[in-house]
Amino acid sequence: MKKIRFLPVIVALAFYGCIGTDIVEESIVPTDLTISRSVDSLEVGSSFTFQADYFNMFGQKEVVPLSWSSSNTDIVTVTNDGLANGIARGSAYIRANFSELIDSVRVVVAEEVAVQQAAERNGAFRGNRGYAVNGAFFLREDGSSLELEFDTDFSSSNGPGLYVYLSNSTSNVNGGVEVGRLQRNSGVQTYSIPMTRAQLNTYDHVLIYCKPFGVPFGVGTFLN
Amino acid sequence: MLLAGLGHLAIAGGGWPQPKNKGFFKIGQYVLVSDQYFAPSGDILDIATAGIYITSLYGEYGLTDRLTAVAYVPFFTRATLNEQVSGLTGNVLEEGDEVNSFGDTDLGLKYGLITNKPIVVSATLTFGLPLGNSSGGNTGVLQTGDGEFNQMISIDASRSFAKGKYYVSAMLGFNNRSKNFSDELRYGLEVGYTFGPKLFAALKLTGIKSLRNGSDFEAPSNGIFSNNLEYLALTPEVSYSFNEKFGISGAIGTAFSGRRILARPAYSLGFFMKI
Repeated sequence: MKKIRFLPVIVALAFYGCIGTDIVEESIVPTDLTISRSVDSLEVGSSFTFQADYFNMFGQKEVVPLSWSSSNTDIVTVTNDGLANGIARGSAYIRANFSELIDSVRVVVAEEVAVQQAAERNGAFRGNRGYAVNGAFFLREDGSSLELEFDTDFSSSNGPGLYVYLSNSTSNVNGGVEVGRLQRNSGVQTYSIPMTRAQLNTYDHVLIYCKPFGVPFGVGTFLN
Repeated sequence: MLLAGLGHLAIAGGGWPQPKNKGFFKIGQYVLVSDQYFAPSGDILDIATAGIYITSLYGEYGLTDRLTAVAYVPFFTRATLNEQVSGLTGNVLEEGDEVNSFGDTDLGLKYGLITNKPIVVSATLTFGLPLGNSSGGNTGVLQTGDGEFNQMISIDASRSFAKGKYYVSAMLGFNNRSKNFSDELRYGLEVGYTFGPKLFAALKLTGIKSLRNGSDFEAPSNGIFSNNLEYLALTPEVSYSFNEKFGISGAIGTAFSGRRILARPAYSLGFFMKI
């Protein structure tokens, strides 16, 4: 019987592997306030709603009571909801403020404003820790959505569970927006992001991220 | 998959084939749980904790004095992935995952090329059967096998000293992997020492070098089934024989460099029988 009595121990060991829990400690980052939706010119008599995003010390996007102001209310006014109205020709700064954080953009008010090109940002990917991710990408406004497009030169290491994220970190997706599963490992592909989730300037990076294991394969940083 | 299989070499294996109608059999448990991973660059990354648990049968049986049948059968293999919970809010960021299945199985034949000299040499042909699950769990990323058919040819050379009190073995193998996985060079060096009639210890240096002639598929899973995986590991093993037939052995394998493999020690425990 000696040889048999150890079998239950062996079999029991096989079941030691219950699914455990990893506590993910959010790293402390500087708080940030960014005007994420704006224009640089307004017609006299027209209006535009500016938006700003606040990220707390854990990098999480948080709704906070912002205050908006204009540097010259004879040129442009702005309500507490961020609604700016062009009053007279000239230029002024629109400021968003929360606590000690301030962000501002310069706005030119004119009788006529040329039709503005759709706002667009662009950047380029680089691989992380030996993973190969390359190519250019563009983020632009498209009606009520943002369109994220990977260029023809895009390529990524093939892997399981790869997702695309917008994030303010190059190493994790805390406080970021999951854009969707990576459609292909190379070539042109387009993703749509409702502007209720992110504005053009809300995030600084695009991550190709292995979601199940929490590993960034590649990081793209906006160049503008 | 060699990490799991190497736990058997200390007493059986090496350059010595089993004598006719003699054999070595072992039931073993292998555990590797890690929250760190060797990235393709060789850097260590923090990852969601992944685990692999393998319960296996290993056997060598002498068909003739030169020809030995070898089998490694992981009849229960479990892979897990921890759930991720925010330390700030307590919210579950990612659900955990698991898969249980039969694992990839090795069947082989070892032939003694040189058996009656101080240095014995044998050649082994091993077929790795993809009986495990290469995309398991709800996430589809957990693996109990690599999903491809391996064919490995290896040469073992061994020499014993002081009437068998200690020995040295070396192994070199070429593993041909299918489905566009990169082929591999596998190598090992092992020294063993017998402390009296019952206690035995061995130290193994083992490694895998990818030939990088396959696809770039990256699988940051438990790593031991990965494509293009590489490592250099040191594994001390201790065995205790209860009598002439039965014994117990334990080993701890630590990769001190690697690519695409978990970066924590692997533990194995087994009960063996000699006939």
